[in-house]
Amino acid sequence: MIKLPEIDATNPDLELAEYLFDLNGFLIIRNAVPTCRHCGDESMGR
Amino acid sequence: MQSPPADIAEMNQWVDDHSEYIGSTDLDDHSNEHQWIGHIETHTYSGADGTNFQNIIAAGGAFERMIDNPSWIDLIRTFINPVSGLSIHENLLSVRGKGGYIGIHSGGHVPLSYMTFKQEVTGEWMVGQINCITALNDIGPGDGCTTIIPGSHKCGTIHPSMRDGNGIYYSDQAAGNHAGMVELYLNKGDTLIFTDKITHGSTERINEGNRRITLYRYSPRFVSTRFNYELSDELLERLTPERKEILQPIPPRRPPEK
Repeated sequence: MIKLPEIDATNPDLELAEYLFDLNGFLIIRNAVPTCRHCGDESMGR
Repeated sequence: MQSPPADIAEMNQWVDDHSEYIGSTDLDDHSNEHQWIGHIETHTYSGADGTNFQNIIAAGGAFERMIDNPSWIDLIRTFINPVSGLSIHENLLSVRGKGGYIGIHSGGHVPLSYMTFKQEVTGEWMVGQINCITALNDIGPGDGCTTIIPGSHKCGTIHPSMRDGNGIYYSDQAAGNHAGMVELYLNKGDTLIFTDKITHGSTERINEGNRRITLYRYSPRFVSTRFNYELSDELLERLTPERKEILQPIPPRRPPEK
């Protein structure tokens, strides 16, 4: 199974992000945009 | 007091409020006033790609905050390289229904000026365009997800499937059907960033309903916008200095007023 190149915006590892983007040409940023204020996280993610 | 909706919910509400425009766009007919919502134009590239709400930043609110979202803007600045500044080549909201797709396109072989990745002599970052796709709803199998061939931005050999087109874009079938493509599933609120140089496209949506995404495409400040939408006075007045510098990196230069 291939593990996709991704980081989590709630705890971003920028060094890893740069490596993964360089290697693959793409990167997934999980929880990048706030989705629901009723879930307890008003700044990032779901 | 009721709290305001979070950004994804706010953007989805905007789509719901303008659902009558979905699927009603003509190919490249920007003279039809019924296709405009203020400074936002409804548009489609080929019909198969669905309805695009171009210049969506004009809707303000969450769409405006996306310009310099802290989850990605520093990465974008790094990859394009701070000496090149930033601009947004194109910004849109895409709604794509059953049967919709994008064909296979791009790759390391394409000789377009903005299809750069690194400075070829020094190896410094010098990405000419980064696409930033944010999912407004969950995008899984059958939903018409983005597909990419990892590492293809470094490959000078054209994908054999693109030989039947113009060598840059091949639209007769969904990109997801071609060898080497990886399907990328997103949860709402996730963002996918990728160099436009990479070979990519989407699967065909086979599920009912619509895929909803925003697409903001960042480039160096020297790259002009794709459709050259004029920024309204209202938008220019309310933009933060940081966002204004991205949307209007080279301000208009006029003779002094008398």
